[in-house]
Amino acid sequence: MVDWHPLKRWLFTTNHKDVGILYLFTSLYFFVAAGLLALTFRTQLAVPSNTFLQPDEYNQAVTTHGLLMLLWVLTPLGAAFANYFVPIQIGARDMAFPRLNALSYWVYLASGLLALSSFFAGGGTADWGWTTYAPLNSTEFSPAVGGSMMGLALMLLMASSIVSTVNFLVTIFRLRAPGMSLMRLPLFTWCWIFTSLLMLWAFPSFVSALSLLVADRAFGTVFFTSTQGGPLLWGHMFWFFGHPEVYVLLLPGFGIVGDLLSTFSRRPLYAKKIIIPCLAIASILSFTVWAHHMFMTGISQSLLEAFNITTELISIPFAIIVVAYIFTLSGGRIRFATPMLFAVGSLGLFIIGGVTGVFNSSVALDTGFRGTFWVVGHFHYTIVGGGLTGLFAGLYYWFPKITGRMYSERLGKVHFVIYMIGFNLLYFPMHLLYDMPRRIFTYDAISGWGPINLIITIGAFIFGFSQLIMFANLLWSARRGPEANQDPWGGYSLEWGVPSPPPEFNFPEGVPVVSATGVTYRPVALADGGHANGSYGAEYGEEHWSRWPIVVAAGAGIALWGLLMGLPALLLGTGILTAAFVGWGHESLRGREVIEAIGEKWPFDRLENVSLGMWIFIFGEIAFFGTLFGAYVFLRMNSPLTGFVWPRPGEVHNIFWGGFNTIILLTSGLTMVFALTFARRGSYRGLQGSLVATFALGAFFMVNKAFEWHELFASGFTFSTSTASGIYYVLTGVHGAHVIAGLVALTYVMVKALKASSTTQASGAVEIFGIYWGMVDAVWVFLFPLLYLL
Amino acid sequence: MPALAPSAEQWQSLFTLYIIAAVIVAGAVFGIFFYFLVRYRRKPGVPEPKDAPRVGVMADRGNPALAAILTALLVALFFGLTLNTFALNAFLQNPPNDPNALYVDVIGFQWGWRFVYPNGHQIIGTLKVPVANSTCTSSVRGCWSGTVILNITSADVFHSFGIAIFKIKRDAIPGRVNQAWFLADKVGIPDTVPQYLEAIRCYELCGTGHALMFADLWVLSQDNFLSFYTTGA
Repeated sequence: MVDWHPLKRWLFTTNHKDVGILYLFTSLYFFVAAGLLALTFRTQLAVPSNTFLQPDEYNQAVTTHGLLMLLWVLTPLGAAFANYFVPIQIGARDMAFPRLNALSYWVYLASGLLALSSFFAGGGTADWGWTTYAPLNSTEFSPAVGGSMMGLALMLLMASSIVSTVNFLVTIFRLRAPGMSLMRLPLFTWCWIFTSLLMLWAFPSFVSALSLLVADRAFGTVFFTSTQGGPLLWGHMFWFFGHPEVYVLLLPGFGIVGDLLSTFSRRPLYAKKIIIPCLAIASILSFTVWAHHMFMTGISQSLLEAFNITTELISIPFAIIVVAYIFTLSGGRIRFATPMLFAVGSLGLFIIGGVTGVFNSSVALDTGFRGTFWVVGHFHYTIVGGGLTGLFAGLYYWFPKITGRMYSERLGKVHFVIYMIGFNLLYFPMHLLYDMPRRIFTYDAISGWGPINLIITIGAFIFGFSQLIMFANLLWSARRGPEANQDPWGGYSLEWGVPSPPPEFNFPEGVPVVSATGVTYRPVALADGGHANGSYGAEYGEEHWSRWPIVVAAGAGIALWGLLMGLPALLLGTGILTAAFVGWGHESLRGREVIEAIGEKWPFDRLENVSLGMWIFIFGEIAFFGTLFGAYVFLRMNSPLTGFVWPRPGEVHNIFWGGFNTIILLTSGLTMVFALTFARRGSYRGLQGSLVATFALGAFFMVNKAFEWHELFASGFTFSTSTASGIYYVLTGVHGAHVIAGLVALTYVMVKALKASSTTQASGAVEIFGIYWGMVDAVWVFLFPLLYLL
Repeated sequence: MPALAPSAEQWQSLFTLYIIAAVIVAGAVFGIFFYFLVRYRRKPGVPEPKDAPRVGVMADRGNPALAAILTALLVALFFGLTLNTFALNAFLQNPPNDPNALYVDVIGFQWGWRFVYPNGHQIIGTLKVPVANSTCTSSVRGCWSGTVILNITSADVFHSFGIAIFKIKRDAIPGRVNQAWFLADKVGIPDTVPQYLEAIRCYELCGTGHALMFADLWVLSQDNFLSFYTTGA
């Protein structure tokens, strides 16, 4: 055992279980913060004409409550359990990339601190509602720096989530234990797969929307303030992310509920083979329903009807899953321990939220509901009722596994009863206020909304109070509770087959081998990457630490803070970030990566972990650039309607110059292919030469680009000229940023190749970089005709 | 409370239809749910089911045909609901072709509503309209049928124009003009019909004055409306 100071352990750990606990505490901290914000504005609304909060304070509280709960509480709480249990449930010793996993956590924390600090940035934080509608989100109407800081915090959080997503998908697809086929995965892990896929596809599109917003706020482009783009562009981009996000919030808790209903009723899940395709169908459909948030914007009647139908369709897979969940209980022997109570409660509340969701699919009823408390009631039933309640069920369920001790069952049941009373007093009466606008800070007594609001506020305080019981129960029991068995519930996922809490490498008896009859443990042979002594792991802590993830996150957070608050912080942050990357670069590419057991990798048997990770990342990049291309198409199609004449080919952009640059970049793609060929053949000089050529061509491309920008600026084609100029600069700008990131990574690859004892050793890094560079080239192949030729 | 406009009446009946469907469906689902919860609660003497999950093992179970049946039932239900929804949507979306309709431009701003009449009169904070008049058919000239067609836009940020008592709503978006229409059945001003007080509200967060962005409704008789329309007072 390495004798670690506890502080050092928690700061530098890369152990998935430690990271999970960090996520757990942090997300619960944000839960308390966002919950207290909700209590402030529920106090304001308790009686008519109240003056507890000023209007701007109210708007900031509402906005921050929404953003924190959705993005910094629910998903990270799911991520806490996913970090702790997904690797165990698939039979792995850790995540595929433990250091990246720690990085995701620290960047998440940095983004949360940045979001909270925006309150104090002068002028308060974002006050435009979590939906951030344009053009209220512009500097003209919301000049506060805090709003921009919230935007940067969101982008940082998205970066953390995307890294985490790549990590989980590689882990689940590549690190499964022998016999752990995809269909044998527990429902929670399945739901986490779909959550990750949704995040991978939806979050980059939010990043592209935020990029346009930050460009508007910082560089004076006119995407959301001009009539050519404007509010509808934001609406489409935001909700294309926003609706899948709803399922990102729901699915982790929803998956836990399914596993718990089965475990506590002692029956197998009903029709698991139907549930999983239904989750897949719902995930796909979730990208086709966004405009039901825009029913009143005046989009065409045929579009309204189409989105009405897709929204109804998405309820079908969920209805099937709900019925399957209920049928799971039949023939069982149900034990109503606290986790089961919360699971049952979650399902019941979700059914109510699902039923009111069908009302919201109706484009005609929306003339009543749009922007009212009905909607607020509906989505709290789904997200808090379905999502958070399910996650709390998971918290009780896994508590004995994480701590090795049992919580107080009596207090757990008290929590459940008060929780349900508070919840329904809080959210059900909102449906009765279907004439009262959302997000109003006050109302007159004559409106008649007073009494119902008072009930809602009382419910809010009861609901908030009930959480204190849980916190007290769990904090006390973690130290003083009676010791728990290894498997107090009779669970079926693999974490119940290992000690509580699980040892560092999860499976002390060896590699779990899963078959139809049960799980056995195969002692680890050296060939499997284990250790000769048969214990499935090295000395505690040796493989599980890196100081760089926390430093990178700190540098990124400080740099972004400095971007708005002043040069010294920006320079400090950038300096820390650079130092951290250099330091990290000195570690091996594979780091102290835990070598996985030989197990199930279908359908990605033929890819290295790192290559698969890069491909998954590129899948996210496609969503990012795809949404920006979509924005381009939207802007261009809208321009005739507003009398704006889009520049003709050759009018502004020099086709010859652009074509020349295209050839340069494509040539650099070719030299990259040469580099890989030379690396595989073992030609050291060839490898070095082609890498240097690639670097030179990439740098030349950027220099050319800089001259082109300079010329355009000189000719009066600036950021704020029009949406046509704005989208040109954003598209070429983010592409240029990708080229520059590529050049930095290429420097790393060149140094590695220089130091490597053989070229074949370097070929892995060369190949991974080649995938990335190919993506950068491919994006340009689309950009060039779009911007120069059409 | 009787509906104050045909749009509100039709909306209420569609809402009632959805409520009935919701109560039946949710009742059935919750019925089975609670029945199972009670029926299969742990009782002494009942042994653990043979296929109980254990570590690493989850037996196959379930009848996929159930999913097909459920899908068919839901599609049938949604088909019925959607036909009704589309009918009301067509009614709400398309103003009647009425030569005696009153057109009003509605401009939302931070924070209030400006109403501009065809003759150029403007008022802020009160929308004055003629009451429904069944004698004013399209063959009659020089009267107001009571059909009010609103051309809604915004002078600054994204607002949403709604008259909750009529159940009409359209977003007020800078650079776009969205249409809504209604027919008011009951003559009155806020003093006589309390629902007309602050009847018009903004339904999208639009800044610190969002809560105070409302307007009153005055539904006037033909004569009173004529006198308002000609004098602007």
